[in-house]
Amino acid sequence: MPVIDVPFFGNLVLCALLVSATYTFSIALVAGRGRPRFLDAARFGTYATCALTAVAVFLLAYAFQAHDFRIRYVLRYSDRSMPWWYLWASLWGGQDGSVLWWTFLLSIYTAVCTRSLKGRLPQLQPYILAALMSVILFFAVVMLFSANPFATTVAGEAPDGEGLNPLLQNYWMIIHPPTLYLGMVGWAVPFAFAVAALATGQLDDQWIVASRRWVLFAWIALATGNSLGMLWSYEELGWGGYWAWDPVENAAFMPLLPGTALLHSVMLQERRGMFKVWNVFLFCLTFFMTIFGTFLTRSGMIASVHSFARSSIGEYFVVYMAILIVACAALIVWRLPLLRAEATIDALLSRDFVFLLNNWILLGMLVFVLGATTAPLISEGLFNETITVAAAYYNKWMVPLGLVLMALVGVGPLLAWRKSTGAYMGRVLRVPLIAMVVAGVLHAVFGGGMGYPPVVESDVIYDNLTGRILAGVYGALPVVSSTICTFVLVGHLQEFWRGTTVRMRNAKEGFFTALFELVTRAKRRHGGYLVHLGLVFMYFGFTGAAYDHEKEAALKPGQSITVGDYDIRYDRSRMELDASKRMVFADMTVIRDGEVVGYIAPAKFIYNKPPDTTTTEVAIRSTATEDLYAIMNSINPATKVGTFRIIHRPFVAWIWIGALMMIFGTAVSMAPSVREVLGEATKPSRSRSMPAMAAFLLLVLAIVAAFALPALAMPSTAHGQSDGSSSLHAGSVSLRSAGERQLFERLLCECGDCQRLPLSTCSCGWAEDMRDELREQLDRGVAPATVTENYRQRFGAQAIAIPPDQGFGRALWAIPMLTIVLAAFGVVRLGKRWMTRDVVAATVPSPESSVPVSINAVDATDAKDALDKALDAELERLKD
Amino acid sequence: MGTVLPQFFTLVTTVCLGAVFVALWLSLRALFQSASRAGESSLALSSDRQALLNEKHALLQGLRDLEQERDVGKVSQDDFEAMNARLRSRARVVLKELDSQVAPFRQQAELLVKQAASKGSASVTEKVAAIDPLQCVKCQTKNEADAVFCKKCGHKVGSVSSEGAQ
Repeated sequence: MPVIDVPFFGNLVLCALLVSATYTFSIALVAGRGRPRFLDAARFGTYATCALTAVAVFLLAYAFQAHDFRIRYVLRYSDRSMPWWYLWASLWGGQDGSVLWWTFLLSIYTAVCTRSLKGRLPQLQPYILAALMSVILFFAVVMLFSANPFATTVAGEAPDGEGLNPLLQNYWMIIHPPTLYLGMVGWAVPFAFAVAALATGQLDDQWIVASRRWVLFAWIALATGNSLGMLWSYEELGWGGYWAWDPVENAAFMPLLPGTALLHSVMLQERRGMFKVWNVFLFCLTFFMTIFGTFLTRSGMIASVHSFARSSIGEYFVVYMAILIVACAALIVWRLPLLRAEATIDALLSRDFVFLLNNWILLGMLVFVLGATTAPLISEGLFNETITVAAAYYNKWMVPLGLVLMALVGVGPLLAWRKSTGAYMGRVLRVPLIAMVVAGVLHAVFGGGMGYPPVVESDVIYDNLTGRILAGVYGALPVVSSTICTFVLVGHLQEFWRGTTVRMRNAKEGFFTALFELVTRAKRRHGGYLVHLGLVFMYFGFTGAAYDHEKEAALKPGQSITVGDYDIRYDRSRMELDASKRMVFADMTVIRDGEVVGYIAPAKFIYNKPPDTTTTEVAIRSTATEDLYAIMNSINPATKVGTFRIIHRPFVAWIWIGALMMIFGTAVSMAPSVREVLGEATKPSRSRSMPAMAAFLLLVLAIVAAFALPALAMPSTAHGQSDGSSSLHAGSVSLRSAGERQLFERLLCECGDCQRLPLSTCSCGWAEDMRDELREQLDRGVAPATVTENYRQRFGAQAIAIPPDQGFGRALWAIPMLTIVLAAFGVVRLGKRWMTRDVVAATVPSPESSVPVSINAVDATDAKDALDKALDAELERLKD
Repeated sequence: MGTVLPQFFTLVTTVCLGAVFVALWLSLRALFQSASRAGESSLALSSDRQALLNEKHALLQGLRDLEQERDVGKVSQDDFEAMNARLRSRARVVLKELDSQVAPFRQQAELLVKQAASKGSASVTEKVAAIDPLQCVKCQTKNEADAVFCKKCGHKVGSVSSEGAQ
């Protein structure tokens, strides 16, 4: 019996949190209404609220460590045998705890933000605090009334807990969710800045500049969280992929799209004073998407492999989202007159316009993913028919959109601000275009011989023109991707090269000095370019999936299987034991051209608790050019015959290299300058804590990334897991042919327990029986299309992974695509209209008139000279 | 480990709880203290100075970026001038704002120097030392830039020098 009455204290703390957040929120609002002395009170109130959240978290952590099984959450997600680090990780292992954890991370952000705002932005600050408090307030309400982590069990104290799902008992569980949450929660801070700017009407660049590091940090944390999610999925779940377009994955991915869009469009506001309304909207949208994502994840309204049970938490989120929409819309409309643009777009062939296009395609992708993710809800609401949209659908449609995005990434940095002349374009595009054509030709000529043909076969998801066009685009992906990637790569390298040579010429520096100076003097831009390069690497890695070789075989010890260029020999099986499980390994030797190149050991782990839970441990041999991914389906204990599935997939490592590159690029972008670290020459600056904090948080992220590295370095020690106890049955399935896989990918397991899992990966008994039944039909010569149709009639529309190209299923892709195409026309028209308006406005281009604070007219000319001189001196100082 | 950790978390929880009470106390004290505290005026004075400094930094970097782009040939001379003018005009406003914030201090300093000079050159050095607003007149301790009271004797910093002038 623990010494502290945790349930009682916990509920007390949650109540106190509610009171404290309400108090701080009100005081901050009063401070914002022109009572500056209330600001100090609000700041301390903020600290108190954040500390209260910490009390709640540590109290729950204590309950876990002390095995207080009176608490429902502790009972359900831990047991006495778990080591302390999993007891700690259990804090975010389930619904109620993860809401608390979410609030905790938010309060860390809030505290750091409050600290960094000390003595700064006196007008904005009260509203920033109020906005952050309102978010904490919401989560406090959710915890008290719906997802209370301190709720007790009805049955009273149990002797032992139910234990954490074995799937979650690995080190990824300790790294991945907190990173992802850090990325999701982080958008609350930029949102608070935007709300404060709207509330005070101080809508010039100040708030954008002040929130920049917060935006960058939230962005990179979210991108890292998503990448770690892919790595986890690839390493642990043992189904051979890294991204399944599951609603929960989409929930984490969606905020990244408007987030990336705003990272680009704020530059337009800073440089040209444009897009002020749009930027405020994007800040609000990104935050909204994080809340919406949490709603998707936690409400259980959409079936997902990650989903928790349906709960009342969804209702609270719906109300909160409605409040968010109304409040943001009202604020924006109220401030619309202040958000007028100061400049216009001058030419369609300019970086300004490409930024507009970048926003267009990113939001287009958002519309598409959002539509497909919520389709089951819409369909259920409108037609009372449950449908499912699975990975096969997204993969086909997102490929063309991704190609457009990559092309824009390639073109954007090459263009000049305002307008690019034809001669300039010719000069700057020449090298990347030549490289692109050369790459395409080389790929077409030599690719096939090296095992990387330029065009691959692709299945047709709709039996009509749309389906064939999609299949065509998908099939041509390798060659299109290799040319576009080359274009982007060469274009960016050219940017670095041109900048460096100019510096070498002007400043008479050596090459490396010039390159270093170039990057450190425009860290944001060159950091951004590095992120682009990371994206190219990732895209290159994704393309590798087109060259998948996959084989399944039953092998006796000593027998081999050939996959791609490799022979994999199954040597022997061995059994190891530890306190919680039995482990069956299959030792395999990887042979290439008659030479042994490595050893891999896929495994099955059989856990004692819950009884007979088995997990599949994949073994991955990873090199820069290819991954060998081995899954053991089963081993016969008597005959030692094992069935294995081996996947040979090129370039996977580049996805992780690209992700590291992105982290590095963002770090370069965020890095404080020497001046910021050391302060102004004479007196230490208060802003010191902010860059230092950013640097520290980045360091934490880098350490997290470093944890991820061993996964690449130690391919044969697999940690992969998949269990039979939860809804997650993904794992090892033997399939006989590619055609069979294509069919099974489109049919979902309907046992009632498995969520969204296609027959191609579901390993439950029901799926096994169904596969046998369907195989029999296929053997009898029934066409796959007929099999699919029969399956639909038997189990309903939700059993099919790809909605048919008719009715609602057609609207599902047609509406987003139509929106994207129409928006493209709209964007071009908007640009053209701005251009003509600019001709009129160009007659009175007084830069001063557009500035909110005007210079005193009396000594305007004198002051101007003096100020200009001061400015030149400052610029000169900056150069040294 | 099994016994240490619960104790550890008890300790951490207690510490956090202590922090909660301290912060709440400070918050309530700030709420109910009289409005005429000296701290407030100094806060108002240095109000958005940091934000302005940040913006100045961003603007200067923007100007430098722009020059770099012109050097690479990415921005034509005309465009460069137009965009440069926009950034510069904003930067001028920021510089002027920053300047105007320190103007009262400067005027005060000039006034004091003048008064000191008029009182005779013999004691100028002594007077100049005396009017250093950061040096305590009572005990001659040098204080930090944002000090309101002397850190050694508690005398109000800067107050006597102006009284002496009167």
